[in-house]
Amino acid sequence: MTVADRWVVGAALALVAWLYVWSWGGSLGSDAGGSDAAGVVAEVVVAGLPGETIDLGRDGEVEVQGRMGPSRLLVQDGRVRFTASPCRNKQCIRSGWLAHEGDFAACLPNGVAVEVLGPERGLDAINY
Amino acid sequence: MQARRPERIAGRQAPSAAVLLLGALVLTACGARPTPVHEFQFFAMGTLVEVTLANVENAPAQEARHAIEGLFRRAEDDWDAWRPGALARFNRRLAGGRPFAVDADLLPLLQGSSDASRRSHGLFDPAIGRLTELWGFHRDEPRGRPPEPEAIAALMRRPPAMSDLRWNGREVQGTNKAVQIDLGAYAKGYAVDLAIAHLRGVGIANALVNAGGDLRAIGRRGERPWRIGIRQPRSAGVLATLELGEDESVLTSGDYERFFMYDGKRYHHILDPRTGYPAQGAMAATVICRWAAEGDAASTALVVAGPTEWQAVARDMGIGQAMLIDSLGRIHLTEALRPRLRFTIDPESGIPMDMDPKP
Repeated sequence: MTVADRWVVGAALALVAWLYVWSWGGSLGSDAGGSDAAGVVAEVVVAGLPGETIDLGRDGEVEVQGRMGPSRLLVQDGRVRFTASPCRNKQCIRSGWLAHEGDFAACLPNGVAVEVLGPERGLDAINY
Repeated sequence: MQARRPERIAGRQAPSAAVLLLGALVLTACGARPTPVHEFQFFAMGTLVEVTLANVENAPAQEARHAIEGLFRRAEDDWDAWRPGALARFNRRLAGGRPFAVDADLLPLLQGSSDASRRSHGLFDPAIGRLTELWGFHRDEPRGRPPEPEAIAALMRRPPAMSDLRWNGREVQGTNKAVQIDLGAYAKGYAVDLAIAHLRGVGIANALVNAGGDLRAIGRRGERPWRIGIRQPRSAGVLATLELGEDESVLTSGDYERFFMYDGKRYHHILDPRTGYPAQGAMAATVICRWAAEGDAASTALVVAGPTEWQAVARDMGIGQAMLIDSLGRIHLTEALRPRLRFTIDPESGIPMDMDPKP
């Protein structure tokens, strides 16, 4: 094998490694735009709308319009929680902070749900 | 010089072999790129329904999305006793006390749930719709206080049960005025089963349908099995994770799904048909089985059964894999389920109890 051959074989192996990461890394091609390898995100689902993700690395407040009215979410220190909701029992607010993959809270009366997705989205569903 | 020539030829041919190898690897890598995973969600039947399809092209995935959402919408109208649909009509005719023919669509739900009720020792009983209504658990937001004890006692004078329905082929007759059918602990699982049957019928072999505590998955998610988390009953976190087989349902019922706090006490939606009050012995039960409808009934029955009776009820319902979390937070498992769960906490010490929401 000549030096040039070694270069070609080396390049081939590097390309295969790159293709592996490109093809299989991240979210396995999920079209929900769910995961971002860089940071933790939460998915917010509002009745009648496609799910959207929010970056838990960026502190701030998010207001979403549910069936009954606005639900407010607070993002702080990589966590998210309900802070206001038009429902009666406030179960969503009592759920407290959501920080780890799979943490889930929903306001079913208002039709708003929040789930923390992991950096690699290791769980496909939460049974509750 | 001549002796070296073949070597040089071989040497010159080596790069082309490497290029061929490279080309083959590139093609292999491209061919192995998985078809996108499609996820969609909607609210129906009082919960968030999530559907994930793997190895499916975009067009059939979109068609499946419309079909499944339509299926859940029809189920929501037809199988909810408090919406103007087939079950509400059934309950009105049942109250009339005369024999009548049951709708073909409703028949398998009524017969399946009657059968499950019998095998559950009557701990799962869809005949308690009037109790559900009295407690206010038929609404998304339950009423904030328990009903008057006298009102419960009046309904329990002759406890409503599925055995109060007198069947004659497709015809049925009500024999107890206290009976009203509430399929809340069966219909969601049944809808999940129908959704999976639809997906299989259109050639989708890798899918997961999760309607809150009612989940069924077929096939795999790409190269790995479906992985799910089971929620902790007293926090927003995950209690345990598990990988699913090629066709399995996981059903969880718990006292945290629909409840209210009154005078520092939790009143939840899983009513004990023997007492007319919320079940006391357990906060959650999870079962793994083939059919979601069966599992839906079983997980409800196990919460009612509590720590003393749950194993006998699971056995008689044909459930080999089950977990019960009793009212003290202790975790009980069948031997068949134990090795499959990966706990996020030490299962021997039970679940942390300090998260119970205050009124």
